[in-house]
Amino acid sequence: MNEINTIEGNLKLLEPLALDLNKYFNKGRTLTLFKRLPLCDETANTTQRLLDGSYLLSPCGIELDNNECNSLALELIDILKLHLIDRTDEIAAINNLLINEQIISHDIVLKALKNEGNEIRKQISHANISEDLFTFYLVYLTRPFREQAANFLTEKIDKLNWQYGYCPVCGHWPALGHINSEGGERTLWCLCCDTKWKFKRTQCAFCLNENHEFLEIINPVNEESFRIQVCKKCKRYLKEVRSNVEVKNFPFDKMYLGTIPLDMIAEKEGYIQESILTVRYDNPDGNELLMYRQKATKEKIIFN
Amino acid sequence: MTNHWIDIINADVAMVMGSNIVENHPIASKWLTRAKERGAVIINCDPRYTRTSSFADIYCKFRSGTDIAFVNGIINYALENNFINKDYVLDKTNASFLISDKYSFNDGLFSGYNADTRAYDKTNWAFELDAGGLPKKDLTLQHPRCVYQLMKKHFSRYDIDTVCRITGAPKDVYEKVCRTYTSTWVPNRVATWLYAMGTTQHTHGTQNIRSYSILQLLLGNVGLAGGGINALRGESNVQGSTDMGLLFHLLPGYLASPTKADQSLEDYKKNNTPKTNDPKSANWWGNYPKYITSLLKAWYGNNARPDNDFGFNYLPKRSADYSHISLFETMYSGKIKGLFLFGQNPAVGGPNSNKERKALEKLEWMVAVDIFETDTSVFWKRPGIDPADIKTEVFLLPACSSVEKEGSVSNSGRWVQWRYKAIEPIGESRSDLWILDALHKSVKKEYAKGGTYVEPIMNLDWNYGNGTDIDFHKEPDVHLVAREINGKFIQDKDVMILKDLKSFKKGVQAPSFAALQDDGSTSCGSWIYCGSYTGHTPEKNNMARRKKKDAINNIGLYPEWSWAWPVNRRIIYNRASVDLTGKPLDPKRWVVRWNDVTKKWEGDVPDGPWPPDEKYPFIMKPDGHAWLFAPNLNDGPMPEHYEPLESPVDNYLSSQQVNPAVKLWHKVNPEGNPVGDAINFPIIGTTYRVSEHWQAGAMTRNIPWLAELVPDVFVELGVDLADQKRIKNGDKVTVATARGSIDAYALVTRRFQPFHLNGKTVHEVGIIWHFGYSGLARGDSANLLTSHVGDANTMIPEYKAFLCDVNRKEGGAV
Amino acid sequence: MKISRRGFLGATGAGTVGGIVSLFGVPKSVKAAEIPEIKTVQSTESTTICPFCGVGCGLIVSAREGKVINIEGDPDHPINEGSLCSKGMALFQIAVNERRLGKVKYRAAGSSEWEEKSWDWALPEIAKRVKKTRDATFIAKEEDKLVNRTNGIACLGGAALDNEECYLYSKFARSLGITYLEHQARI
Repeated sequence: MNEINTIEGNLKLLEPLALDLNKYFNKGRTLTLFKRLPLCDETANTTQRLLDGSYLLSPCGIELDNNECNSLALELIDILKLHLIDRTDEIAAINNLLINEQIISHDIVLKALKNEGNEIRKQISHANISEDLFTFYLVYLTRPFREQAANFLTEKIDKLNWQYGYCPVCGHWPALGHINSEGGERTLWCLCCDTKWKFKRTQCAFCLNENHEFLEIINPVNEESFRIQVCKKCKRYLKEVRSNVEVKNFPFDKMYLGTIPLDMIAEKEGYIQESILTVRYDNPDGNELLMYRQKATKEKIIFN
Repeated sequence: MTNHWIDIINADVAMVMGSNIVENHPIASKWLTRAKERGAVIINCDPRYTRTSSFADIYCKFRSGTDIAFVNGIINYALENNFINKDYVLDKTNASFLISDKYSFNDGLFSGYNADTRAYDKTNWAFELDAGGLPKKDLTLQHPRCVYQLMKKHFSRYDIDTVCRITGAPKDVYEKVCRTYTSTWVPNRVATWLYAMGTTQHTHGTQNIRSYSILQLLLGNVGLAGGGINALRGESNVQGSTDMGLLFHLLPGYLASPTKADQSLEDYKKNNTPKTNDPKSANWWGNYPKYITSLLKAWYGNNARPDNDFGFNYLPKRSADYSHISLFETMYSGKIKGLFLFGQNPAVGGPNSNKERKALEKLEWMVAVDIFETDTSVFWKRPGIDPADIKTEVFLLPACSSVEKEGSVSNSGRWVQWRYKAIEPIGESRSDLWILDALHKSVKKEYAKGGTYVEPIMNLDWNYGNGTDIDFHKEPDVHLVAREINGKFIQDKDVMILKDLKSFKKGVQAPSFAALQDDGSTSCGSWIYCGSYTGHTPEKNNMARRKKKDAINNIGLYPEWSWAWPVNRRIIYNRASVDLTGKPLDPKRWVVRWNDVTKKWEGDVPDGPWPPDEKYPFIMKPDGHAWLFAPNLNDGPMPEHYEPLESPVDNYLSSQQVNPAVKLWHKVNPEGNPVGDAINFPIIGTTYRVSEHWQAGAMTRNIPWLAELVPDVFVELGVDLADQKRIKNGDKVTVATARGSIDAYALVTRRFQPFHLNGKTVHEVGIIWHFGYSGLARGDSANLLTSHVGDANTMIPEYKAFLCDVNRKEGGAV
Repeated sequence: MKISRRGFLGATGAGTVGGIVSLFGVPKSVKAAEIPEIKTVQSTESTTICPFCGVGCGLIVSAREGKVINIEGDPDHPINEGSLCSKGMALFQIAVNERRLGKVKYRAAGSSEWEEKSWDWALPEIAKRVKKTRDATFIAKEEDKLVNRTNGIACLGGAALDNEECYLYSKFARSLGITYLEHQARI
């Protein structure tokens, strides 16, 4: 049997990339990436924001360390070169943009943190780079920064009191769900900032649908620890792994990359990946976000 | 439960008495563990050292059937030492009420007793009223006829030495129990009381609970988080089935079923609606007329009109006791011809099973609805019986299990939770809902040809969206039924709710029972469920809510998870948790509080919206006060110790051996009701359950995993008794009572210790009662040993204390 | 409602799937143009409440092709938080159990055997017996007082039923005039 035809096989195939990315993240964790971190209010205020459903990262007043940023940008290029041989030309193109200073690493990271993707898009429109590759590059380039911001913002909170499907720190949609084989609880994971939060098993993270008749699980035959939760209401899906490895030791990045066949399966079934690469809501206080949150709140019954 | 499962975490002291929570409600004991982690002290009092005992900080043994002596002693300890929450007792209980001068108590009898009828004339115990009809009070609590002084006198007889002589509790441990439990009299310490069938299954079960309640009230523990009186329900929906009136004396919503005295709706209202002249008493039962009229509208629809008394006389009227024991006594006499059984297995679960099994033989027909064959549905081929002798026709209808249908169940904490259908019914099985719908339609079809008093059947309002014919593939719409239970407006109506006039359109679901009417403009199937389904779409099915977010007081109420009756109130009597200004007695885990700025209550849904001092807190009592002294019970206004029907000792306290108000079936119907004595049957017997089986075993004894875990019936006995009887662990033994005998394996443990009762040593044994002759795991039923005698108020059988003997079976070890 | 999707690169939700796949479907060690062939099965998960004791623990039932394949504690239920006792864990064997009744059965007077029957046969037969017994035992008046009841038929059970079923049971039984109406709560 060709190993590409199993999830385990794909995990093996992509392990070298995952390992290198991991090294890259680990390096990022040792660096001081911010000269000035995102503004953080008092803990009480943070807790209240979370209770209200407002995500935390609002990157005003941020200042990055430009040198560190640059070295990460180049290191990531090297990793891509090593693992994505079919995309050599495009990777070289990104490299050139950086070298010719047509794009500045700390500038695009900052824009990414501010969710100003269109600005970057304009900048690279003349180069021959497909959107997916550049997006990939940008998400991973920004990841160490978001991670540090996330740690800083949630440091003082002992329990993430969060009831929504998007990331409490940066507002992105979850990339993967972890289901604990022992207790059965589900933890969602944000690829963009590595934040994890608990979320109800029997609910769609994207539209909050809880009607089980509109939720389904797709399992690869014989590999039932991997699954896709699909929502027939909003047509979104979430990849999930059921595992007895605890959340804190679980290799989310490796699992996310290795389960790419699940994305293909879901797409074939007509489900849409709610992009983890975009922020669905421009800012945590936006109208759309409010409407989403209101789905979770039902009218209260009062006495009389 | 006044409170709910999660709330156990809030307790400082938890008393488990009459329950083995760790064994029988294992997941609930998680919250007991959390309380313990918080520093709570767990006390367990039980005749046997159980799984709960091993988990408790204090274990105190006491003999089966002596709860009242045990708890009255704690009450006495509290009164003697003044360990009572005096403000609470004064403000919220009837301690200050004066009692009629006809009240007296002498040698185990309250005044007004008639030995021929074995009943009391309760007017002897009445509250003394002033000219305005209000109870007379002495707020100094000094008047010799005030409840407080009568209590002091009554309970003073239960000093520690007396209690230990009766119960066999070790004195040092008992003192520790008294001391620890009564430590919660201070407002910022709270104790919860958890009990189950170990409490109720006695000839004085109601008074057992009364004694717990009196103690909880004296200590000020009712209405508070971590407090209350909490009955641990043993079945997933025994709360709901009671809420829906599946008992002879109740209609849905705890409305009394009509009696012969209720010849009209007017009579019924008059006989059941309590009155008060006190403007500070909410007297919630004053709404009785609204609830009965709305129920009649739900049942008879357009055929319930003012001109026919809303169909009131369609309802049967009772003129006797029709409770379980009486039902089987009547069946035994041949007067009951037909029996419907929906998921009940009385051949194993009923008391005096030999008699009840024989009673089944007298039936002409039986319709049993179940998911497995039960011992009851195959009673005609039970061991030792020739089926040819039994003329009963039996219809066994295959039902769906809980995962094959949709609907709601109410847990012990009154949370009404929605279940979804996961798969289609197996084979030709159908949901009980479909079966009931089909039965009604079949009977109606039969009566369409004419018959006796056809109106109640033909006029029944019955339309659940699947047509008038029976269709195998069309389930009744369970949402329509749920909405009928919630209730709706039948015509446009303006309703005053509090001080607001609200307009409701015809067809609108009622938002809460405060909107229900007595003029036929509303219908409601069970008023306490009003608010459970407040719109026409499943989104308004509040029972299905699954939002896991705590309320502002953070005490684990989870108000948006499912729905709790009444009106989503999670802790009932919660107005008793505040002082007269609405400030919580215990601010660190407050339940409700009055906001002086918004002029509204915060936290849990309060027991009524009125400002704090506008109404008394116990709104279901006509006088608004909790009754320490309860003149409405059949066997006395205060709990008094009597021995079980079968007891190895004489009543140490009085010449009344047995509760004087219980019905003595062995005197009324001697056949099949023998009573044993301590000469032939010197050992106390009791019954209990294990975690791996459930009730009469129809489900668990058919589950291979569970049948394997506990495959046989056993009798547990102490080492001393086993030595005396030369019984070794694992021996096959016979347990016998005056009514029957069973074979069982002996389980010899140190968990049963002999009791020393006023100089006499008595042993106790226990038998698991899950077994019967049908299913994968089979064995003799413990209820072959138990008797037909019940509590004086509820008629719940006395399963928990009887006399027996245990002997090694001939042939020795197995 | 129009949802704004202004993210970086303005990538639409749908666009990125293809993107990622084209990026990683062909990693270094694998030949180009190979696309995984993975068979799948679909299942559903729905919530329920345990039918045994009165705690009211939540469970998740997984079903596939009309059969229950797994039952586990509902991790999101505030009371049991995913845990179950021995009985709750064994609920699977209630749903999947060859001893379950799948047919109507009838035992004739004096017979030692069950006979399998259809619902179409059983329901009218039961109705006939109900009518016969009710009509024969109906008491309209007792000592000149209206009572409108039958003492000839008794009903038992209900604690294992849903509320809606209990309610209809109550309504059905009273409409027949039954007063011997009892269940587990009494014992």
